[in-house]
Amino acid sequence: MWLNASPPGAAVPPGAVSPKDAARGAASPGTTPVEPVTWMTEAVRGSAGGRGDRPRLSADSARRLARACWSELTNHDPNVFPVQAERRGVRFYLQEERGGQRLSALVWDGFQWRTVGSLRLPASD
Amino acid sequence: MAVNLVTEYKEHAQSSTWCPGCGDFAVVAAMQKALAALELPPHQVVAVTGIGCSGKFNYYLGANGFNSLHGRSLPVAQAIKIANRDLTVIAAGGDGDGYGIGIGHFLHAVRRNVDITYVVMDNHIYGLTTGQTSPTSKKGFVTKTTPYGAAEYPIRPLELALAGGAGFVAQGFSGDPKQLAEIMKQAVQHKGFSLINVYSPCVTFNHEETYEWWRQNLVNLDQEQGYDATDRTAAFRYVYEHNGLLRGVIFREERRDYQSELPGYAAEALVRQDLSQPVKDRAELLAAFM
Repeated sequence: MWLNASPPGAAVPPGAVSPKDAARGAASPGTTPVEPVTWMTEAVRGSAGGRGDRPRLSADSARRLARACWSELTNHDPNVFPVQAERRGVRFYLQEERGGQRLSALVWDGFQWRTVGSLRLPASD
Repeated sequence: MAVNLVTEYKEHAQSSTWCPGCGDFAVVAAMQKALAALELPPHQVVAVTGIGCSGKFNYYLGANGFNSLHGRSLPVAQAIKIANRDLTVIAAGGDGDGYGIGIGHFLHAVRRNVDITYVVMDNHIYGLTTGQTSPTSKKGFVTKTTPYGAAEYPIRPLELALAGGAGFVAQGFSGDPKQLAEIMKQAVQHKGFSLINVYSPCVTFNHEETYEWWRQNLVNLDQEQGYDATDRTAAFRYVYEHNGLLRGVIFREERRDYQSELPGYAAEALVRQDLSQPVKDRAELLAAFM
């Protein structure tokens, strides 16, 4: 496990920012921000880009990929489910949940998609 | 009003343990939206489920809930409606629960026509037990239990419901929650048994029938010119010709529901009636059976 997965129903991690705020580059005041793209970059890097049979991505490539996925997630058609983006064997979902949204990262293990981490995002105003 | 009611449902709901991306999330959200649009608050609604991933529907809907036995959501739901006709009753489950162990109840619920809505989250696989062939899996479907492909032909729920005389038959898709909510609204309003089979992809174990696959293969009846949802024969033919790959309201017909057919069925809900009897009468009644 290379991410601090928060179980369903867990409290909002300190510093998490809403998608809206994150898109503006803003952070929650008085906290250490866990910016989604940074978190997603780690997800991509940690998975070695997929099943482990691919070369590890450079930090810059992983960040570009994460940024593209985040852009896809936040510009999604609101009438389509699920809000999903997938690159190099890593899949992200952004879902409504009680009190906010949850960003999940999954990796294909050769048999199934396994959730390897999730980030709780507070509701945007 | 509708927005506030959706919030009310969400406030009463429990946190979900479904896999991220599971189609069942969209089913719950669509039902909350439909009930809110009909101005039905959570205390006037009861959701009854069986066992399986979708058996958690009642926990996540945020209304009254009853988690029954495997395949037994329909008899419980019908009993609740008969005892308290003032409640809006929704039975929910998966394809294994409804079309496997619960198939007998399904067929009889269709012909009995009690005023309930039955939502089946059909993903063509057993998800909770980590991916085995279900009654709706296609022939040749490879899973842990069928490594050489499923040898059996799948159950065809839409044809079964039409043949059984169902007055409302529809099919939805989790990938289109807007249409799904509209279908649900109409199903809840329908007087009598209504079936909504929802193609609700299992993103974890079914890697053949993905959201993308369904989007490419489902025919949207809302866009089919000339389709007449009041013609049972045409509905049958359409379902058969498209191998069930349709979404929208397939058939609807106004019929008298079960309660209306019962002679002497009181206008007032059973739970609101005074069922108390004098001790003397009870003793006489008992003696008559001894």
